Amino acid sequence: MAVPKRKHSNSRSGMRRSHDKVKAKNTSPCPQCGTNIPSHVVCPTCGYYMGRIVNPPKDEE
Amino acid sequence: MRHRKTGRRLGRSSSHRKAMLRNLASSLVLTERDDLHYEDLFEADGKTPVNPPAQKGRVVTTVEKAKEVRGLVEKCITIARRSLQHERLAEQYATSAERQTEEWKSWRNGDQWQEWNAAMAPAVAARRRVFSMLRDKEAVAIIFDELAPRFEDRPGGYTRILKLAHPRLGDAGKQAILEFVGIHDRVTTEAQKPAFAADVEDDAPAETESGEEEVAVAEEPVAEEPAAEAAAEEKKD
Repeated sequence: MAVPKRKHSNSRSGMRRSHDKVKAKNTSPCPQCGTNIPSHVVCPTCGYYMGRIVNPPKDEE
Repeated sequence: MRHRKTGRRLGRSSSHRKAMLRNLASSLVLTERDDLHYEDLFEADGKTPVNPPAQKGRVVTTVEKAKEVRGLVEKCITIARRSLQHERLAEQYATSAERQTEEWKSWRNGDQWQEWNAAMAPAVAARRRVFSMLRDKEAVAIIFDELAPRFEDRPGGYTRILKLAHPRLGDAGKQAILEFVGIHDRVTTEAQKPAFAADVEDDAPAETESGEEEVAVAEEPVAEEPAAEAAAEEKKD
């Protein structure tokens, strides 16, 4: 069976994990209420999307 | 390889997928049901009343499923729309008499019925086609009696998909609203003409539904003027 020959150094682990960072989602303020939302989605706070209210806040999921 | 095979598999076998899409399409159509349907309607326990949907003509599902089922729903409505003209043509041969009355019987045995039957045949065939796609009689009735007349003048595009901000709790599925157009439509106000564009020829298109065109109209003069100036400068040189 294949067995590691040497100790896996902290540096190696660090190098592997150098690509693991999670980025925050890109958001921009809703033009109606200012909540930060991703683009192309209905605003979860006020239900605003492209110039009209499509989803009144009460029946929010 | 998946080359040239359209459509998502949605992690289901073909029969499972077909059943799921039919069910989803019917569910969307059935949200247009009368509120009367929900009177005296209870959950399986016999006590909890079933409420009508908060918003008619709308379902919440995942973005991918919404995009897949959209085609099925629209095809059904288009077939129903095209059958309307046949129903109208057949009306001239129809009778207003009630079934099994003498008047009705004489109509049923006469030439008028033959004419009516021939004229109705395409409409009946359309109903059967849609039924074979959805396998839900109530949904078919709603498509033909409510949705088809509503969308008669609209050449396709009867539904819209709106993406929702929050993923589903549990499997983090991207959620979307799938709904019939006609409610929550975008309101467009005609773009105000910029003051400096007074001498530019008035070829602005009439009010349209698309917001993009508005932007294009507003930007036109801005784009044109520097070009004109540049041309003038070149002439000087």
